[in-house]
Amino acid sequence: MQGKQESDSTVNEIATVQMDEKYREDDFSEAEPEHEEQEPEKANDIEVHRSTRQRKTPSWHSDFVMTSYDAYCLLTEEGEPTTFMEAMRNPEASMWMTAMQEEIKALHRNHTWKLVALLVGRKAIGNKWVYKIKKDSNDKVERYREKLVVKGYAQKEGVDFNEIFSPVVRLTTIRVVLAMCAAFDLHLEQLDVKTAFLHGELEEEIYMLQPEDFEEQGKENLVCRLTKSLYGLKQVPRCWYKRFDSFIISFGYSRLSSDHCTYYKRSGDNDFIILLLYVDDMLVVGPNKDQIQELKAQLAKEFDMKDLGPANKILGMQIHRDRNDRKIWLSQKNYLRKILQRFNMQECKPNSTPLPINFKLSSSMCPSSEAERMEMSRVPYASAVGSLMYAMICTRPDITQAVGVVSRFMADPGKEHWNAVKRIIRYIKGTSNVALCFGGSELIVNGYVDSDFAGDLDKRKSTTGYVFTLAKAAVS
Amino acid sequence: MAATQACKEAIWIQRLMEELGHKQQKIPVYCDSQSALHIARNPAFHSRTKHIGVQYHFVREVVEDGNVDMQKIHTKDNLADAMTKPTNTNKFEWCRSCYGLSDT
Repeated sequence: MQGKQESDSTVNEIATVQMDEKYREDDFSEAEPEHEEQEPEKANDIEVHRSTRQRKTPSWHSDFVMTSYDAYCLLTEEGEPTTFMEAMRNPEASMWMTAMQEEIKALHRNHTWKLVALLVGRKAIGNKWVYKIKKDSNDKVERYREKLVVKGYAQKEGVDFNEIFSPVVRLTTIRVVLAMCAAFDLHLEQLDVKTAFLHGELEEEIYMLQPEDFEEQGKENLVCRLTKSLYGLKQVPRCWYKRFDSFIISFGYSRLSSDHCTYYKRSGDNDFIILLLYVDDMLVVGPNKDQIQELKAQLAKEFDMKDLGPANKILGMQIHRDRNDRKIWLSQKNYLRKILQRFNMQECKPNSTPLPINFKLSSSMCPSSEAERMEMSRVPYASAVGSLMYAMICTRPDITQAVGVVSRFMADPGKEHWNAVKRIIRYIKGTSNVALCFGGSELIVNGYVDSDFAGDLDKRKSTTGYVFTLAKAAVS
Repeated sequence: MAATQACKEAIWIQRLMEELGHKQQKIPVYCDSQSALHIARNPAFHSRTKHIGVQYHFVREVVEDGNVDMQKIHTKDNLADAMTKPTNTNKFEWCRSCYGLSDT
């Protein structure tokens, strides 16, 4: 999610980085004729023909309204340089330089690449430094952190990557496991893999230019052949998943056929370990503490692990536990508060239900004139519905129906539709403390089904709904 | 016809739980439509259900196999009601508490 202005500026920066590289590469351009596509003009002048057409962002971009307090924004904030040149001009250049040298050293230690001559017919992709100042809770600078990222967008399918999907655990599985946890009073621990993506091993041959200003002496015209994955490559998540998968299976864990990110190991009658993997977050569940410790030690030997102890937060959901009472609460208080803040509705009046009874929306409420459409384009409809949807699939089954209704009009929202969204947010305001509570000693699944008969006014389609409850709480 | 989707989910949960070492017997699925239940239980071919596509006969198969048990429930006790239509406050709050959502 990037705002209009911001995305423009990112494009500009990338353009300048590429320009910089062009200047450098001109020096040894004779040695690498296969670079033609990247620098078509290198034989001629450096003057590049650029269209003078006014650039306009498409209208759908206006949907993404960016607010400065948005925590997920990928953009660098004030005081953080965005390009290498900028970092060197920065008053803190020496700090950045030492941090970069450390990072390069770490990459060498990890055997991330080998220097080779580029094969004829292959292209090396560029890279870029991403800078970040890590601050502690008192806003004091803790350390300077950078990452070397590869420009993944320059990768070509079939050459630089084949398959890039990577499975993550289903939220239903997380809830089922938490329900089991509550019912049988199991240990629930969380682990985190540091720099998970750097552990993946690449299958494809990928060549990368040497990082700016860190070329090895006398080998300037060689390129790096990547052996380990690096941030920015398209297949990074998949590499990591495969690596972890083969590793954990070698320890006798079996992958479940119903969810490929869940691993299970049984040892003895009443002893088992369940491991859920969500990219680099892991939840480990089991009745035996020693077994969990053993698994942790095994993992720490192979990867750089961070032990977070008893789980209290996963995917933005807080986990609160009462072991005496055998209950687990799963809530998204902070996330919901952030939604309210983001849409400036902290002070709104709460509602008791998300939508009023017999409430119907239809496409006849979509804007009819261009003027109305323009007015609606200023409303962050899609991002509001999107944020609600995430809350819905995580911990709030109660707003499912309402969110389902408003999300049908994502393409062409009208005023009425926006009012409905605001009503849901007001309902959230009234109930932001509500949490999903797992408890009860028996583990029995019950299903409930319902359908409304042709409730959609436009297409005469029916909505179907189902709920499955386990340990007194909805799981699906 | 929602039953089809529900049965698929039921089978998935059943498999997941089994793999995690907790075999479920029959999963009861409660439905408030009498006619849907009749179609699900009775293998006879109704001329009036011709329009119901092949995939819906899946429910019948699952019920026959004994993986899922379809049962009648009154609309007012149906938890899934709030999933499909806007309901009044009382019903909605009741459903919500049944989903396991409670104030902390």
